[in-house]
Amino acid sequence: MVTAAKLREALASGLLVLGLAVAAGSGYRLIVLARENAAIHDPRDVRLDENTTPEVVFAKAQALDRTGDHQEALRLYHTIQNDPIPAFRQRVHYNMGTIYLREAASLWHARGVLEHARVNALVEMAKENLKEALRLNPADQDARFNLEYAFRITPPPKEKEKANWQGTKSSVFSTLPGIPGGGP
Amino acid sequence: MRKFALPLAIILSVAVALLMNANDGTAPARFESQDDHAATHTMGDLILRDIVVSTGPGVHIDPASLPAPGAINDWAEIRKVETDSTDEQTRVRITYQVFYGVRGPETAELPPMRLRFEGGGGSPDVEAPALPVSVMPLIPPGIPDEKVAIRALRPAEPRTYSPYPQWLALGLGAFGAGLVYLLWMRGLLPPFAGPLPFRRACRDLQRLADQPSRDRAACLLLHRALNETAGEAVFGNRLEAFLERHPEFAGIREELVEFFALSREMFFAEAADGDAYARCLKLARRARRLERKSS
Repeated sequence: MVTAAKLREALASGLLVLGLAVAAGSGYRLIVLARENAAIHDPRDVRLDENTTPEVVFAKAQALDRTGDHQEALRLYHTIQNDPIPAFRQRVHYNMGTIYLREAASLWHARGVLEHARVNALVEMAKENLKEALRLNPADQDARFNLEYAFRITPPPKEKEKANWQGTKSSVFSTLPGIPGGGP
Repeated sequence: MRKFALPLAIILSVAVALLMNANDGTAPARFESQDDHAATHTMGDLILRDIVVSTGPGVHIDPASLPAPGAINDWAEIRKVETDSTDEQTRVRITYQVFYGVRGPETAELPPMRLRFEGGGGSPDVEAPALPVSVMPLIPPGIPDEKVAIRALRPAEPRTYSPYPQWLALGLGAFGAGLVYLLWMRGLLPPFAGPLPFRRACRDLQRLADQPSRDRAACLLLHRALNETAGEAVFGNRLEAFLERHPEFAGIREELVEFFALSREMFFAEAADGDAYARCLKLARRARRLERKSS
């Protein structure tokens, strides 16, 4: 009877220790998550390092974009675009594509063909990212819409520049002077 | 020479017949059907194209002839290629994704596809024809480009707390259960201690602390607790029987013997022992501890 009582006491002690360990571990994780959520809610003062969770980096990038620092926002998105979680990666690519698209659209509407090369590069980046977002989630209506818009504002190809060819052959035909205005 | 001509002709005809029979056993692979896509698609849509090829037994598709996932032109990509073969037919399912930016309804074609089959004496390639696809814009055609509002960025999502609250509750529950049980075992949880005789005797003895004549009452309380525990009256000469039935009290055998001696002197010899109350209280507390452990 005494042995049974000791056994029950040992079991109760084990339960107490195990419960304490589980509660402590869970409590610690909840505190960490609460801190991360506070940082996601207001990421302005967050200092990023290699241990910062991707969602906090995402929030920081978005805050930077809101303040007009698009380049830094894109740089941060680039650091998390290979996250192993597809749904998260999809959001990253969508945001990157949309920022590129917004930049391209404002430049295209403001400067038109004068900024042909930059607009073209930005639109291509927007397309690539929005396509990747749609590969990861074909049902994303916003990504579909923005990608279609990226196609709409894709600048038409510029006229091919004239070849400034200079022959090196010693052929008589290659060195004959042309007749201005075209010959008969 | 002529005498060999007839047998030779017979052998040749048999061989030709055998070869013809062998060829009859394997029908060549033949394109049968593919899904038609009358539905209109928009940017990002997935298109499933099922190509069914009838084959004979032993004829199977050459995996190298299947298209590889990736871009096939500037507006469509192959996302997935699956095959399902039986003895009679092979079904090739290709999943395309449309990346076609249009300003108005347009029709495009998914390119034809050549599939190669092997086995059963060889089969010719099978060509699935091109598949026309209708594409519609998502942005209404009449809106100028500069008036189109780009869809907003996705916000950061707060991290979910699950499953940690559940684990915390479970851990606290286990901790609480273990703690309550340990306290209960040590008699530190009076509300849950139950009607244990020595526990009640201890409580009643403590109430006697300020009484002027408390020694006799203390002995009576302890007798009552012993009787309740035994379920009958316990006398000094039956103490051993009591301890046999309740071995948890064996550790206080000497104190019990002394208590019975004290009680006999107090009630029958009218001897006064000023220390009786304190001895009874001490014995009751030890008995209560043993009672808890065995309960």
